[in-house]
Amino acid sequence: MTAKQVIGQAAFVGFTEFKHVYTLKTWLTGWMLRLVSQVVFFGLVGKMAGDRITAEYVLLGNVVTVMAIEATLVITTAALERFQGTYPMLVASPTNMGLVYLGRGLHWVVAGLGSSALVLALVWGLFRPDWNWRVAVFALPCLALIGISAYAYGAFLAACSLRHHKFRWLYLNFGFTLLMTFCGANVPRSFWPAPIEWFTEFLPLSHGLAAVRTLAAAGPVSEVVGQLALEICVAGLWAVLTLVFFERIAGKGRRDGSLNFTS
Amino acid sequence: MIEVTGLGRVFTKRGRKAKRAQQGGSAAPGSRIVALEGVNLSVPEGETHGILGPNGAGKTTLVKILSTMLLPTSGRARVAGHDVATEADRVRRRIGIVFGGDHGLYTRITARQNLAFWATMYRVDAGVVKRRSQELLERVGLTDRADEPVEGFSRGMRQRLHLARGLIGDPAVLFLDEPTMGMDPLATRDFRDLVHELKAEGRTILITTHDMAEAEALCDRVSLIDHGTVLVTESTATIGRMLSGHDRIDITLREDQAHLLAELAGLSGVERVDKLPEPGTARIHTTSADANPVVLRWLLDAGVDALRTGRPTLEEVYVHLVGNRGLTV
Repeated sequence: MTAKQVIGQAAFVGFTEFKHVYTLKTWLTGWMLRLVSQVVFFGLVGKMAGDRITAEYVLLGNVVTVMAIEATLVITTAALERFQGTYPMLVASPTNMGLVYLGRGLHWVVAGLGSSALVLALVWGLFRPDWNWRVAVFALPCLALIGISAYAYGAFLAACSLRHHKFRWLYLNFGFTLLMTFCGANVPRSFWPAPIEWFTEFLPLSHGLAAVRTLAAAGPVSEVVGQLALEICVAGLWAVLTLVFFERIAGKGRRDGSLNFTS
Repeated sequence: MIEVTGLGRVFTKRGRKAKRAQQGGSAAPGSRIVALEGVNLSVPEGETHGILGPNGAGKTTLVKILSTMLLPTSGRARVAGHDVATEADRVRRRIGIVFGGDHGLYTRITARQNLAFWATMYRVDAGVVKRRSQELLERVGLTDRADEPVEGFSRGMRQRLHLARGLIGDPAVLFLDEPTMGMDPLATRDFRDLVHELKAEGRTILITTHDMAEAEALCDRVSLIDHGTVLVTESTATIGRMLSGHDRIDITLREDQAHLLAELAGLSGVERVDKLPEPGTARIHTTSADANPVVLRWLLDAGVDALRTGRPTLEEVYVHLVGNRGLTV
């Protein structure tokens, strides 16, 4: 049994659950509307606070952040796992639960990709920013990569939330607020004190967003590639941390008896 | 196949209150909960073994340890030749787990998809998954509903799917924890038939229950457990004899028959007579099964025609066992 099969099966469960929760209508009129409002709000704040360049900076940052926000929603899937009572069953199976989690919430990445692409198209139409055409062509693969790294980061937080499931919403909000605030969505990372800026090197979104900004500014391709490579490294880091941490969580649960069936 | 030696599990309550109590030297007795203590158990290959006990006796804790969900705090346990604490992964490849209740299945996917998912988790060869899933669905009678989401299933259907899920890895040892809990009588009967089939295949089965009838119907031997300690391990026939030795007779007396209670108490074969809450009702505890016909004849001769014999509940058997063994339990 390969890791690919485990991730595939887990992803299938997640996609089926997602289809039960959302229809196209509820997704567009509920979730999408909320995301568009958020991006437009920040775009307008940028416009009021500064010049056109500032407005476009904030707008692009928030469009890309939509991807990261949605990917971190994998934390809510961990809560669902606990509610369904499948969590201890997974621990008692011969498969690493972390591997399951690397697939269990992949629907959030796909949904995030759809959301962010749609928001990008909408705000481009609404605000007519002066972004290079390359954004339209290459934004999607960049967003997908950001989604994967934010997802791996979210899966790590999901593992943490299994231990403190009462605080799962706190984990979710803390998780994406950290990205929104410090990873260059509204202000450059260099705005923050050096230790914080250094820390954001290891957070998803930082390098991927920088790559999209380079694309928008028609910067050199080599710079874009370098930034995306760093984003891949960040994704790998969080994926490894997730696998290790799930093992630790399962081990601790076996020791202290916290592998409960339900929340 | 299952070897348990001096197994113990103590839960320590977490949180500030418990910590303060421990630091202040006033560790409340509740801050440490002894769920299992000195449990010894040996289940040979092919045996269906029942763990009987009331709620909170430690049955589920024992199954959790044996199925690698929980570590013991003392003693050791081996399942299928492997230590549950140090060789958990090897144990997991040889066992199947079936818990009673609504939890443990993905309700938004179909029964077949659930089996495919769990087959992957149990590292079943991809080429085998489809065939084995179909065989199991047929076996548990879910073929017609195999492609429907589980959320529409009744309790009995879910439980049968739980059993199929537990068997997907073709386990040598199967743990069934209160498997018929909440099922209606017909579903319970069908489920027990399935367990009989598994038994006939030579699988080792450990089943926990608080239902004596279920234990008698399914098990070769049973262990009575209470307060985390095994009280007795015997064959079901022996336990049955222990039960029949504690039969009781419930009677309802008319007003003019009230004097009979005192006479009954002195009757040979009567252990004691307890008055019940309803006016004129009483419960006669006999000393042995042989005494029952004698006492019944005496009652009928005395004109008592409202009477009923019955077997004691499991709880009453416990009271007898603990009472008889005193501190030696």
